[in-house]
Amino acid sequence: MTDLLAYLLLGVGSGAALALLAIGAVLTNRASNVVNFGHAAMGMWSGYVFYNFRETGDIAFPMPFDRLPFGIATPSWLQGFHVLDRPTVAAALTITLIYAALFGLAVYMLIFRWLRNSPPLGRIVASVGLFLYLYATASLRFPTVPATRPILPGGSIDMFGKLIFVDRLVVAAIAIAITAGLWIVYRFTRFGLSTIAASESPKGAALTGLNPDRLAAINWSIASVLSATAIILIARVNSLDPLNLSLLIVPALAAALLGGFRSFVWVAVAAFGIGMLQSELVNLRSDISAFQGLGLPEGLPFLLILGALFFRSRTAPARGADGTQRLPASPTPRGVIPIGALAILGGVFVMLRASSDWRLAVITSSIGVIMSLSIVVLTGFIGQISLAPYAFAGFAAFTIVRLDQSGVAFPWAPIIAVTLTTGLGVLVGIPGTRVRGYSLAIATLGAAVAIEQLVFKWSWFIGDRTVGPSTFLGLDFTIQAKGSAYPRGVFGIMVVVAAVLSCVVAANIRRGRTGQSWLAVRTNERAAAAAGINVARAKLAAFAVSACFAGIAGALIAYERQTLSEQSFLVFFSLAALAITYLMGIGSVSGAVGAGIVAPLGILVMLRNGSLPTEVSKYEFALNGLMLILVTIVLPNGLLPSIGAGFKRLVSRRRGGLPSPEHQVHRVPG
Amino acid sequence: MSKSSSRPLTPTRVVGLGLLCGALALIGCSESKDASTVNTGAGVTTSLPGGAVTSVPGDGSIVSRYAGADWFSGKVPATATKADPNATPVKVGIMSADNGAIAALPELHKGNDAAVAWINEELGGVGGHPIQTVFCEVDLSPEKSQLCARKMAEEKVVAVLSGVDLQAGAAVQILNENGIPWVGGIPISNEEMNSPNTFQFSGGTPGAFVAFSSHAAIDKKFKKVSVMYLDVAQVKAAAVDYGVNLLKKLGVDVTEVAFDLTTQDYATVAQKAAEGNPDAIFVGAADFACPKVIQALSDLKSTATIYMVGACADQKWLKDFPIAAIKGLIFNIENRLDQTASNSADTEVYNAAMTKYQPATSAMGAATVSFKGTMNLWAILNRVGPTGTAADVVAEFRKTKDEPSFDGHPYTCDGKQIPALPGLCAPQQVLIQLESLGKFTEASNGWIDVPKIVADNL
Repeated sequence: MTDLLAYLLLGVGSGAALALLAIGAVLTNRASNVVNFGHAAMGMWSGYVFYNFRETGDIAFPMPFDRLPFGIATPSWLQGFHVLDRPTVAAALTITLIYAALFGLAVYMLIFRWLRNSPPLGRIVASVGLFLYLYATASLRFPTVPATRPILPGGSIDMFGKLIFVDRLVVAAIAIAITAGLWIVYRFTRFGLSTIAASESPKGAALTGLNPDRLAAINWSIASVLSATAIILIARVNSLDPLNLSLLIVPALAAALLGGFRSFVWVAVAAFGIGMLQSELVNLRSDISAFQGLGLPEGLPFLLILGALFFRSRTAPARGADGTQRLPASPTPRGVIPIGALAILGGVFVMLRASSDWRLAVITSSIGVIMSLSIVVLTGFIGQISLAPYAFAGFAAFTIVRLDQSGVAFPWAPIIAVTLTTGLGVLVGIPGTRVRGYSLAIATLGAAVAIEQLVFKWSWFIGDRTVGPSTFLGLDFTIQAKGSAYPRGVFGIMVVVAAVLSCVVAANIRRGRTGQSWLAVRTNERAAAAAGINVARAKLAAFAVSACFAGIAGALIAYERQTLSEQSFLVFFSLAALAITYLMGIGSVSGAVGAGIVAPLGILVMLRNGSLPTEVSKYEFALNGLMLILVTIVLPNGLLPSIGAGFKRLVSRRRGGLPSPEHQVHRVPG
Repeated sequence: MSKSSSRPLTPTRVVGLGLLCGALALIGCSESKDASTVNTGAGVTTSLPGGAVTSVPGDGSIVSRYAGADWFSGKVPATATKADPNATPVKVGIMSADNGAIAALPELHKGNDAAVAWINEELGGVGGHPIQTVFCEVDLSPEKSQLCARKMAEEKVVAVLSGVDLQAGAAVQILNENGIPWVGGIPISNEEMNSPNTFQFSGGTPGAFVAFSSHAAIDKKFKKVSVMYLDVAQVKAAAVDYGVNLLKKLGVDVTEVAFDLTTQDYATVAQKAAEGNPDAIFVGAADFACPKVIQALSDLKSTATIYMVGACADQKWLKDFPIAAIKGLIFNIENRLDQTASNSADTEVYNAAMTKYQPATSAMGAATVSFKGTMNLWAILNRVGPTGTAADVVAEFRKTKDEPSFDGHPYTCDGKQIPALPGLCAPQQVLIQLESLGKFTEASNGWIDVPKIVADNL
């Protein structure tokens, strides 16, 4: 028993850091209705600034590029400046926290202030862009890790028969003090009450003389300082790691969600709970042999969160979750069969006549199309944000491996795998009948992490990670071939046909009664229910179709790669897929096609270069992040829909009429 | 309540207070130089490659400097011979990750380039024909690894020098299909170690764990060991199969502690590993996690002997610790520290070549691996000749038995060194113990015969 208590206590350091991050996430959500996936990345960047400043006395700005457009060398003042020689810890800490406050302010003023009236998804995409940009910038600016000498007292004390590190207890005390301070400020001061008022009703707050914009800016600053504090405190030994520190946003958001995105105290309790539970599970996994093959410490807390969400009626951030925001356009598809037939003919031509590079690019894009369709169906058609498509795809891919090893061969293995994945989609969708908007996004994020940790690390399930041959009725569908015969055309044709058929199915859903009822649910759930639509059933059906598409993509990935890696199906890729689908038009099948075309190593790369590149630009991630941010600001409804709407406007202006109704953005009165 | 205390905390005041606090804290904002605790390692000598670089005269070749000295391939030639630039080149592929925050080691590529430049400039290429490298950069995606493998097949390279690639499994299959060997580098995935056409001069993570287990259980006669490992499939397989299971066979009581890639606070895993006062703790971690594990174990005042994978020996991970926290750490390497034992000029030649052809790249670290792989491939290419094919290279590698390796243990690519991992041609290891920053002594008594230990116990 004392052992159990000791390991719970050992988790307070992690829990404290998560608490600070989670409270910061709540603040930005309150301030500007954003679930900021780049929140921990902001803290990570400030952490690098701190440790770099301690060593060099230089302040670094998040500028990753050596050269600006037109070959202009980046001026040194854009990269930073020297402040002090050999700064003390107090000076470094103070300057970094001021820096973090200004950084938070800048992020709000330059990015999220412009997205106040964007769809919630647009803000998610911008925050994913921020994540990518900061992660890439830290990697480029600090290829060697700055020294991170401890700033807290070392040593340990004996509690419950174990040595508990003093610095973890100090971090916990700091987190508790900050939580208590923020609770007092937001409950008893005018500033705090104004923030809450503005978060619940921006218009009402403005009418009473409050300035929601200024309040939002200050809350962003405070949130940024909190994330910087969390990262500086936990990165106390000389190893900063940009990706994993940025990914701390996942458990932090889970804690924020458990705390209802409202109460600082409950959010902090949830965060400490996650940290301590993970610590306990490390202990139990080591002691219980049946647990040793599973990622219990990282996966189980998320499974519990999913369960908790199911039994809670309202845990969501309020605005944006209830359908009062603009929704992405979802035009009715036309000419589906002729376009589909042409696409198949084009695909067959490429597979039979084109170069190896072209065949590979079309295969990559086709799989990307199916993956994006999974997002379009769920998010574009029925308004449910899911961050688990790659987890579903991975489940299908590894199920094929498992079935292969049990003697179930092609094509039965992929058919069963896709069916099981569809069932898993329904299972994950069940909480979706109770939560909406951002809450659902975070819940599915949790589901994705749980699947990664509990399923993809299960040795029995993933086996030797290789798929068997894919032959059926004498036809060989395998991808492997010698030299430029790779990838085999037959495999490519199978992929293209699968992509086109998936598009046709999705288009027919959108055109039919099912699609109409889904759009009604997306627009206003209560109104849809009043019109006789079974909302829960509609959502579950959408989850099933979405998971089915993700499963098909996963099955094709399995046969394309032959050898699978669980690192190919991380939640990070789901975030990227959501972002790119949003940019291309998340409400339409054509948006999914666009997302597939621009996929890395896809058709667009071939059109641009004439061949697939053999070298990687070191700026790739930074540029992608910057592009996501810029496009969401300039074209908040996405790239293709904005271009389409602009074109329609031009045509109708010339004709002197109005754009056709299906191309108008869906708006909800209120 | 006084008037001042009831004034509301407005946004302006919040910012003002912050700035005031900042201004106050800036008082005495610079440390005196004496207060520095950073040990830069200056003045400390090292016996590892890169630590004893001797500059080469600007107009002198490296071969003339070491002419006639013993090295892996007999004697260093007396004079430098340049490959004929007009002769048909021998195409060799290089696949590695140069950019990115994870698993990117550009120095591997630089090590290949330095070796190839030296071979072409001074060693006459391959029978007078220059080696032409075809580089394809991999990233974290299997698609890119597959694309690179296919490019190599299209370019008809005779071999691919592998650097580091987390997704190499997907590439190796394509190369196998095309009969192209995958040579050298840092093997991570199973496919890099168990595919028919892979030839590695490293023991990978399995070799490290066998060496740790043998040293702890047989040499030191430890009875209780904790094995900490990164919970990703490739590391876990090595740690469990060649660490935990081998230790158990050797009669050692083992505690297994897995940790996730995203772990930030190692307090819990270190506590679990140190529980019950084990005699030794093995650590199989990604390099960026090394200092966190060292710090946590140091905080716990663990007296256990700590074995860490060689990547953790890099000074950048160790330089900020007080010597008491790192003294006695044991690491695995794949060359002898004692140059007189190897009786070879390989290390000196390597340092000179890196200084001359890649002066901006640290000679200590991953470049040693790629340079070794390139030199060993060059020796095989010399046998098959400039017109040799990929199949000839594979056949020649398979014939090798106790073949001298550049700055490493002689290798045998008969697929039987560790039968479950036939691609490992030289899994033998040396363990070194840290005495002070940058200074090591050999902890093992020369080479640890990993294949024999595996054959006898697993």
